Amino acid sequence: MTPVSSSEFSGPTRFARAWTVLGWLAFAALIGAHIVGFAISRPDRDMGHLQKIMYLHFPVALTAFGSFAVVFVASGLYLLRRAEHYDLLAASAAEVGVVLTALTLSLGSIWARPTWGVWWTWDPRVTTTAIMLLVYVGYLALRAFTEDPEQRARWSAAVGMLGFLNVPVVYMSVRWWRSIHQVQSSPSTVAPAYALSLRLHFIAFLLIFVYFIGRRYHAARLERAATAAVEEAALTEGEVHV
Amino acid sequence: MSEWGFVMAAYAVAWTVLGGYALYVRARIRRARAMLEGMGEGREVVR
Repeated sequence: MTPVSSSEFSGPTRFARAWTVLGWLAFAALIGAHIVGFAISRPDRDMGHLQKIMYLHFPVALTAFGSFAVVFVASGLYLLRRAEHYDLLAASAAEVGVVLTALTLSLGSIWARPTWGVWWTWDPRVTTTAIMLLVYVGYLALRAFTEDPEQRARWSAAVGMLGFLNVPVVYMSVRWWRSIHQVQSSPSTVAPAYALSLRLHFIAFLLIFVYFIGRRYHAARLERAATAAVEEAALTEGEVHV
Repeated sequence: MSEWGFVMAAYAVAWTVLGGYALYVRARIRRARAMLEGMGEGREVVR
């Protein structure tokens, strides 16, 4: 396994400013998308103003899928090349994916109560999404409880790849089984009055997705370098005083 | 709860989760960086 070097973090982070700008840009884009969405979206014929929850629910769900795609690719690359940074990238994307999936389910629940009459139902889309969340929570738990870094990376790469098998099932569940959840939609399938706001929210969440994974990956590399430095200090005990 | 109540709840939950996670990641970066800098300072003392 190619280790992360602690020396690369000894100075100020090279791209720290660029990441900060990206973070502010991402959240500003989200506020801008909200303003446009609230200003130009007329109430839907059936759902009224509840339609505005779509601007959050749908892009958040897609970015969660994107996170798990990153886990899949990075896990595969780790198994091929055994480079630690792929393992750290997969773990970072998995955590972001778990947060976004939990948010997707929460938003769906808030939307379901006034439209379906229940907070939760064992609908195929909702159930497969909950299973997806549990799979990746399990992935993070596996990482937390495995001491040996190489074993942790190998096992979690396998789970990260196998877990991704459920993602297409989640996506297709509304077509494969009888579901009260609407079928997949996109800016081209929604009413033109809603397409612009949906596109703007997609862009904002894409920026947030890149920002979250980039920052979480940076945190993981720093933590790995700190752990390596502590281990190195322990080996040369007496020479380092912190 | 009215339609607007559910809409506002959804937006509030989204901002709480996204903002909370951004702060959590930032705190982890700061903690790890402080730990690394601490190690570096320890080495300086010895040298």
